[in-house]
Amino acid sequence: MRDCDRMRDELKAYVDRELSPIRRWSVARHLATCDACRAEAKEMAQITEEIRPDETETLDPALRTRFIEEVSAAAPGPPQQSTVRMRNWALAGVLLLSFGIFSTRFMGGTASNKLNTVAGNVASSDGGVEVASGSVSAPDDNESYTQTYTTSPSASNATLPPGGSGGYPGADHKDVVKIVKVPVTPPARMAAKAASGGDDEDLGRKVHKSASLTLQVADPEARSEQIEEMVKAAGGFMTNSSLVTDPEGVKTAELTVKVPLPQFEESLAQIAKLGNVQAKNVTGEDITQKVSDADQRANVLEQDMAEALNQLKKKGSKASWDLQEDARDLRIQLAQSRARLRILKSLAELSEIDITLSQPAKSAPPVQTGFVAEMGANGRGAVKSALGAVETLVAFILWILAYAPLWIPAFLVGRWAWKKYQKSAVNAT
Amino acid sequence: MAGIIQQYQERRLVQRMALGDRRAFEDFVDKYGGPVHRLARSHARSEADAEDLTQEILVEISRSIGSFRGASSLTTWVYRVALNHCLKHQQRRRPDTAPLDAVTTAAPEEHGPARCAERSELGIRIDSALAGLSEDHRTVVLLHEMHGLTYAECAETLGIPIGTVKSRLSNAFRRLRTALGGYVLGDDSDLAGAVTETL
Repeated sequence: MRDCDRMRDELKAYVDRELSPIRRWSVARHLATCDACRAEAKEMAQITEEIRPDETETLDPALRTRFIEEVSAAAPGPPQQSTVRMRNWALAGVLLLSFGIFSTRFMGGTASNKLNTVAGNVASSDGGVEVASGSVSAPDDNESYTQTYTTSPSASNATLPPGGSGGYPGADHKDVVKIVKVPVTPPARMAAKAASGGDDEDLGRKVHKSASLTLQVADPEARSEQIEEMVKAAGGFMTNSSLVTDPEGVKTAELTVKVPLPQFEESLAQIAKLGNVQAKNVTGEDITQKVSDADQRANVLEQDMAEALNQLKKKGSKASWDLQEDARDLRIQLAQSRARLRILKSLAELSEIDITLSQPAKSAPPVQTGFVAEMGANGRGAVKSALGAVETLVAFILWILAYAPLWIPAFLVGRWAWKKYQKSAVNAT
Repeated sequence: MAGIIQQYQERRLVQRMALGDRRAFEDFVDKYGGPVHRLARSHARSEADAEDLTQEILVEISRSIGSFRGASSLTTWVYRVALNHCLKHQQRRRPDTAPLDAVTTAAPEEHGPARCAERSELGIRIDSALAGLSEDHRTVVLLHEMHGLTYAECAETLGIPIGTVKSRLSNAFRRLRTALGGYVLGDDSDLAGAVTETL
């Protein structure tokens, strides 16, 4: 009876198969011996069967349509963009619009003209194919532009756009790639310049120009000397020179020269005439702002330095260690700033040209075709493989001879041991 | 594995509903419309009332689907929302009115003679006995027997331990058995044999 009380709460779960295997086994054992509980379980099973619906209830089609309509209408819909995100997009749009307006206004006389000029040059080149058109961007505060031309020696008779210095004779060009990047000074900076009375205008534009040129020449050494003389004549100098000969005997010379800015275009054109132009890259960076900033920084540091020196003079020997440290730091900063200013000014005064002179690759021996040629090649292959087999055999013999001091004694010892064994076997018999 | 797939499908359905996908609402109504309507019928006083209640529940679920975080299965969440709504509806209802299922038991002629003929006498007596159960017992019986929820799902839906579900069901069935007064087994030897096989 006590078991029945304990099992009573389990009976329904037993019928519903919701018990753990152990509990299920325990209840089954009880039911096998208790008629009352078994009867109760049977009744529960019957009631359960009677209660449970025969089939899953499905909605009437009209009701289904009505519910779907109501639910769809009441749904909140796609999640709205958060206000922060929307605000960010709006801000981005406003900035983009502002940038566009100011770009149009301030680029009008400079970048656009450059872009148009270069594009015009490319368009006017006979047979030249423009692969990439010009683009305008503003990576930093400084105005810069880059012109890149790459050519293929196997090209048709198109000529490169020389940027105002004439074509490159003897150069065959197939592909022309032009990239023009003209960052624009931001409007805020322009406004600040205007407010400060236009001090920068007094400085003039400081532009650092650099170029890289790849030429194909018959004699790189002779051309290197020629280039050095040309650069010296233009008032420049050579900063780096190297000559490399590859295993096939093809010579390549790499030079770096610096020429005064006014002679940059002319020097570049003269150097280009010395061979077939394979690639040319001209980069111009407006460092006016950098020079101005360095200059201003040096001025401010000089004033601070003067003030610090005044303080030191007033305090004399009573000057604190911190004050002396400050003065020392100021001196270092001032020296660094002046050095930077000098470098920037020299950059603006001297332009740099990297030149690569390479010999044309030596042509490969002509490939013979036909029955006779193939037979010859096969014969050569057979002889080569036979020689290889002989070589392997010789190597094997040499290997045996080389290791003879090891294997001959081992062989003799083995032989002696075998004979001794046979002898003892005969004696035993 | 089936559980994982079902969980994934439920999550996808919820995401689509949250995005306002009409097909998702159709799928949702197809899957849960019937059960919710049945639950509503057990708490409504008429078929029209049950339809309105079902609509209210479905609309409420679609509005608050964004609050479903997947801590429980979608089925138990839907049942929880529906049950809460039904109970609120029941509280709003006049105390002298009885739920639709109880009404059918008390006045089976409202559903016509065809339905009455389909239902066995035992079934009618069981309906009557169900109507006499307490709300807690009746709800557990409803969820487990009518809607096929497991003990664990019932516990999750009602927010009670599984042991409580087990004891409530056991008590409910004992009361049903008492209410039926030995009417259950009768001479139905086939059913008795089936039960014995089950046991």
